[in-house]
Amino acid sequence: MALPLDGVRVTDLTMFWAGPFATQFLAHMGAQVIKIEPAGRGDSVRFQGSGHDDFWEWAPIFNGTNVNKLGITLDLSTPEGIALLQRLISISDVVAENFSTRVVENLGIDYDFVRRANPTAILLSMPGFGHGGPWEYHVGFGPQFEEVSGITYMSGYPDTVPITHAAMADPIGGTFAAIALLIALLHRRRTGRGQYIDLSTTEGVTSLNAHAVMDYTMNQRVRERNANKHLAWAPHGAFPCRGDDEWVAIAVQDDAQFLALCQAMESPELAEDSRFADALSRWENEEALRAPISAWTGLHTNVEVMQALQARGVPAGAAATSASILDDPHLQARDFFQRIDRPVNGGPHPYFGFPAQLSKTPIKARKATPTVGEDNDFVYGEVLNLSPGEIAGLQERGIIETEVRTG
Amino acid sequence: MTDRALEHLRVVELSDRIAGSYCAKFLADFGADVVKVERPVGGDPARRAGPYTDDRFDVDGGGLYLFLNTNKKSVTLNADTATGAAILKELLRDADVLVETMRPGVLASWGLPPDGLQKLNPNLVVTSVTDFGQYGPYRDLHGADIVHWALGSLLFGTGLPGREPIRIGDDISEFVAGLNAAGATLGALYGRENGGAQSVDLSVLESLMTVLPSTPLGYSYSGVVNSRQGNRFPITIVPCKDGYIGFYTMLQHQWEFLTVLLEMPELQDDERFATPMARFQHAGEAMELLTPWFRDRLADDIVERGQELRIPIVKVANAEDVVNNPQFKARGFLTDLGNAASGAVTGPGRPFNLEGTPWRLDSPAPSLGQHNQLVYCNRLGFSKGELVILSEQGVM
Repeated sequence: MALPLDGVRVTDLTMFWAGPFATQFLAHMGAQVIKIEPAGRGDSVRFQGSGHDDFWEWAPIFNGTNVNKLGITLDLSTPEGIALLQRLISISDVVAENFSTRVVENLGIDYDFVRRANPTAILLSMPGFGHGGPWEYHVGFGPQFEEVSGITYMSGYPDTVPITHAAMADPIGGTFAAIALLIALLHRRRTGRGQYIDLSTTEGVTSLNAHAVMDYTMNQRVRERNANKHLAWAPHGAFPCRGDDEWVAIAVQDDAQFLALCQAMESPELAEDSRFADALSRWENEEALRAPISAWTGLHTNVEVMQALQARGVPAGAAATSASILDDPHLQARDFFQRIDRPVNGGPHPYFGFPAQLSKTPIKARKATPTVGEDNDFVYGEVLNLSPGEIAGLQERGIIETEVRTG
Repeated sequence: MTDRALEHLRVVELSDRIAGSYCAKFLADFGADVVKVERPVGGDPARRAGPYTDDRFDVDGGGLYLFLNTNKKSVTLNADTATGAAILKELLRDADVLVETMRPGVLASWGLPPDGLQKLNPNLVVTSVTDFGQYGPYRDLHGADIVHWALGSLLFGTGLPGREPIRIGDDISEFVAGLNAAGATLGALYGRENGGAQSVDLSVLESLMTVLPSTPLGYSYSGVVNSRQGNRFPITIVPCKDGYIGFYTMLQHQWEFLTVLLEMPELQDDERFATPMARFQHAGEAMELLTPWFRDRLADDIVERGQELRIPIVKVANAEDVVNNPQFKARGFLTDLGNAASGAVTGPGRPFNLEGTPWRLDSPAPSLGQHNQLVYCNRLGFSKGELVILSEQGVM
């Protein structure tokens, strides 16, 4: 049986993380995604690779966000490059870009351009702050989008500056974009009409902060940083375990779970202590619970604590590292890591799979992330029907150059 | 009036967590007919999550509930009863999608196992959202946002060295799972014409892991394990006179423009900061040099000048700043999500601008059981008398 998006073709001009994440979502579900990288440079995020002469083939974000895509190079600053782009768009269902507004204007790749090449194409345009408005020309990366959402401000310790996660706004914005594209694709198949999608990653990630935003509009309350303290549950946090920098997360949600925690700790006196008798008391006196819980967790490994608590119905999880998670028995049983070869990196190495299992068409890594220009021959030859001579000419003129110039 | 992209779809939502309701919200917001099935007593737990105007509880007026349930219909049903399960079955007979968040096995206990649903309605896409998925050794474990942060390796790498690792935000894992569930559901809907409906087994843990910058892959490439490094220079947050400034000088020209902003041209010739790798290695020294400049300056002035220089630089917004954000205002992002119970309440509106089939707020989040009569009488053919009896029996 064909994958859900079999037959959908995407011309993908996105770079960095958010845009490629969106098109990878479609690629995982079966779309043919043709990723275009600037000739001579490649996707800018490739430059986060290190440790090898060909460092641009070693950036984890790049290699983890372009699985199942075809990769070609194209110089969009030349009329010949733009003409090839038009030909690709004319046979595509979707065009995706995450340029800044300034670059969209410089290259001339706007909705009119796309519609002229293909009147029913869907165009996704996703500058970080969206089109229009006083910030139309502002620049930012994932951390800035998260910082503007209000999420960063309330994250961190009470005595420090706000602390971000590593640019999670990008994959979040990318997932919003995948949803927008799929809605537009469903509409297009029913009506035959394409459309223009203007998406602000910042607005997307701000949606995830609805509770705190509405707490301000309803109560003028500004939430401050408080490490892992939960809005209602206690105890709630990370506790140190036996070993060096080993931690377990515990989230007690109700009285029954608190009782179960006390039983696991063999501390009946805590269960009877009036300071911890109900949810509100525990929340107000949470600090007094940290020492006895830490004393207990410190005697055990984080996996032992997790197992002891989970056996009693208490939400708990050992804090995995980027190394130990590769041995997680549950993720292994679900084949979450797709261990595929990408010859330039040796291998096999563990690429993230898709977070949903589909009953009839399992979503797997079918093709490793392309090296720079890896699929030029296939796309220009088989998809656009150029002759080998024409392709060689493009290569000679630098239009589809595959060398990466690092200077 | 423009058409709605998903107006041809019927959806049944059976959700007791953010992830399921958020998933179905995308379908409802773009025109699908979403019937939210809630327990007769108390309904969706999001109704008790607040925030409430002046902190006064109202089962229909909580902010999170208002946000998650725009454009939906609410019916009450106790599917634990045989009659309730039979009515649920009737609702599903001509639906396109079921979004459900029951623990694995619960639907089967109601006489609605996944393969049985396929026989009942071969067009039905069944999206199940659970902490760990429908199979695997953790299937029956108890999840929570911070537990997913821990198991997914995000917690260990977030925060400061030597201190308790922390999570970011409130319930990011729930929202991210809702996003992924919406994407997978829409993809499965598109694929119905490529070979029929299928079920979607979505794991909150695996969804949350998608926001990691492939750190396990990085470990496999280089042997470097993730660690807590605060904001990971060149991702930088520094205090200014009236708040905090965040900037990210990833590319070489951005660093050079930063030295212009700070009026420190000498840093351009400083070997410690000559390349991205050199700056990363001398992050502490860079921070010491940079930080004092910001201390006595106002956020808006810094950001205006910095953005003129095309540096990715912003004020780290608190909730008040979010509500007053001029870009959000100009684009009409924030909107009134209030219903009769809450009165006007500003919250996040349009998730993206689909110009041909725009986002629209046709109806705010429903009161508990608001559409019982509409759905049970008009659609399923129950009489009002039968509704009264079923209500007395606790079925609805």
